[in-house]
Amino acid sequence: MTESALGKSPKAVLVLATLAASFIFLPLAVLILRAPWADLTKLDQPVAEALKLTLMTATITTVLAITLGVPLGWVLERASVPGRRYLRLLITAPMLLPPVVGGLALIELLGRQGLLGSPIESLFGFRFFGHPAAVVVAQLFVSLPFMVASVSSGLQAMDPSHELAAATLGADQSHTLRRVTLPLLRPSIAAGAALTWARAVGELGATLTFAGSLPGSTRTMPTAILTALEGDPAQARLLSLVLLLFSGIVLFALRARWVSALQVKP
Amino acid sequence: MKAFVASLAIALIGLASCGTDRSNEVTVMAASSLRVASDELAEAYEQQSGLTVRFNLGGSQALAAQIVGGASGDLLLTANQISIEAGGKRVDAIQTFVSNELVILVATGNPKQIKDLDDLANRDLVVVIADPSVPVGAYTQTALIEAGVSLKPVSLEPSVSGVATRIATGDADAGLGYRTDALSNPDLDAVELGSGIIVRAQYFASTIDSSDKGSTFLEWLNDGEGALILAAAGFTP
Repeated sequence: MTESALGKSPKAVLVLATLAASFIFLPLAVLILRAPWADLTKLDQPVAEALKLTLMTATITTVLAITLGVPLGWVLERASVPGRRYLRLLITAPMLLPPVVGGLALIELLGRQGLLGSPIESLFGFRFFGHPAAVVVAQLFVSLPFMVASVSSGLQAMDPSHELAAATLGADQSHTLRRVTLPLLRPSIAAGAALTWARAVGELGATLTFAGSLPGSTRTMPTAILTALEGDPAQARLLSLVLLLFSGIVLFALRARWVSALQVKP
Repeated sequence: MKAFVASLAIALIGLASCGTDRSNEVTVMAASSLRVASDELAEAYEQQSGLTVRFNLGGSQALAAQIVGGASGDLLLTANQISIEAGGKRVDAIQTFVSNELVILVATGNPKQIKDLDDLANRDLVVVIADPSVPVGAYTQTALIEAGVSLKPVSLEPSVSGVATRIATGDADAGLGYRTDALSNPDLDAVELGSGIIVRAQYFASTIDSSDKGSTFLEWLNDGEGALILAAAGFTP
């Protein structure tokens, strides 16, 4: 089983790999084994609502992340931008910050008294706080860097000779981008999308801080789990399972369909 | 390969050295709403007894779950009775502790001129309350039922500090929280519920695992300098 075309795998690597795998699987296994399964039938309307909201917002977030993140990743790697290195570093900041801080920053910008939020409310009568759009904004803030980083490293690893060849043959930059770079980049975009979606589904801190927690509008599964943890921990475990189950199914389906369809055969 | 094993060993040794000695510490698991007095209490007690007080602040129910889960602590202070009972066998004799009062929280100076609970229901205001599953949220429901008022909150926050933050940042015009939140936060003022409605939150206390350190600290909170600090923060006996 450990024999492959490259020969026998070193034992130490196998031991450490097993350790790593158990580290991820054991807590999940315990969560599943010790969950109050009998209560599963008692899951009510609010859960379906929260689940639907979570999956929908995370999907919208992912679409936005592709739309905005791919161009940004490309610009960072292929266009001439001054201070590119610092820009690249700055873009990863939401990954380092506690999400709650991200949420506070979003309040300062888009809250009712925020720099942009206040004029938006007086001009359009639109308020982010309490609206599902705020959930998407919070999710996008924390998950967009995953998309950008994935595209960025995909471009770094890409053999530039294809793009150069296209340019030599007379293709302009936008033609090269469309016909050569993007098709080669598909696996990175797919991987970035999966990471973005997963991060968005689990997003708690920024969402709660910026969007609030109203059933049906802004209460996502993670927020519902946190709230349940305060009142009824058993319910929280059950909600976690539902989230895990549905996210798992979606990611699995995506992996099977999407990634293989997008994979560029060498 | 050896490098992997070696780095794992280094990480584990590093982790082991992160722990601290707890013999000079009193660990107090306290409801989040006690945060407003926690720093001052810890400082005063340390000066008097030489012991460091470490507050583990959280939702009452979550603290109880931590205790059941094996978290170490000397004293448990919750914002309702159900939570302290949920602490299970490690919780000793349960006694009543301080109490707090439910008020309408508004921005300092009450810019929206909010007068009472009826105002919250009848005017076009952005209102937030705590989720009914946490103590302050349950007290909020009691008040609304007594007043015969139904609100359309924009958010059901999982903690009272969530409600306070909303109003302090201006995202909400008003919310329901504790008087102690209004007193401790320079961005907030308190407005009475109105119509003579008064809802008090009774806190409960118990030592954990019959801790002597916890018991001594609780006495100090009930009768010593701690009682004065709690009263100054707005808690009543």
